[in-house]
Amino acid sequence: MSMKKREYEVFGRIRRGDPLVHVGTVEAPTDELAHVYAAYTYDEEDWFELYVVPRDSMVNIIRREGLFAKEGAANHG
Amino acid sequence: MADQANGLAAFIELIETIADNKYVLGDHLVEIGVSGPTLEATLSAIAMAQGELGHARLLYNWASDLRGTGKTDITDQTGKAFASVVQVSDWIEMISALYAVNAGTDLVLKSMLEAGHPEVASRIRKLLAEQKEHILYSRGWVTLLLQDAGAVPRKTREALDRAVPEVRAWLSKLEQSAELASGGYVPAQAGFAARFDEIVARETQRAVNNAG
Repeated sequence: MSMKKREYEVFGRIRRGDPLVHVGTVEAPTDELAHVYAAYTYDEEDWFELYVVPRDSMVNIIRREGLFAKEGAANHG
Repeated sequence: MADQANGLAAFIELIETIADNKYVLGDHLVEIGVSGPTLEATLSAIAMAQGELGHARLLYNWASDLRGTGKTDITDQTGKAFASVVQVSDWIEMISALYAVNAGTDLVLKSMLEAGHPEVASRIRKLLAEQKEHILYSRGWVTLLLQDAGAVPRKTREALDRAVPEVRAWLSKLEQSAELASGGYVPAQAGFAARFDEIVARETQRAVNNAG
């Protein structure tokens, strides 16, 4: 298959009023298939709400530097 | 009285046809779906198999209730599944059959709801909601397969050319059934076949346009 896939973050709310929590990720070539994959992969709860968001649509506000960012993984071991 | 009995018999045949196709597709989604091109596609196919088999069981039980025979063990389809569904042997054929059957079935079930026959709504409302994801999945994969490289688009068109006309012929027969319309099970002049043609043409053409 020659399709291009995007990574989607999955967010859900179990009950009305609950916080919206990050549930996991799915990879899919289209929004429609991301919807289906998330619905079937994360079906452990009777969700009040469930969303998929393309990762590249998320706007970064704050991002802390990783613990080993300066040295890089390649310099370890 | 005879009209009522004829209407009921036609309606039982209609729901058993849907049940048979869902039963066979449920089996295919397990046996062939497990060899899907991606992990997500495979997991979804297996989950969807449970859905299709659950819908089939609900419809068979409904048919038994309408016949007044009570619940019976379901060991096989009743022989009304479409040949193009029964003969599915690979992923492309499975997706094409799933797409054609779900698109056609969705039209019929929604019309049954619109017809407003007592008892119908409570039986199929949940089924219709669950079927939405089956349609998104099969439509999404038909689109991807039609846009793929090599022999895949040709094989997909060939598989659609087998499944779509069979579903269309069934829809055409349903819309011409005086028994179903007079029994209030589907609206008169439902126009199933023309609406199905329009949906399939629009969705497959969109895939071709996007590929180009």
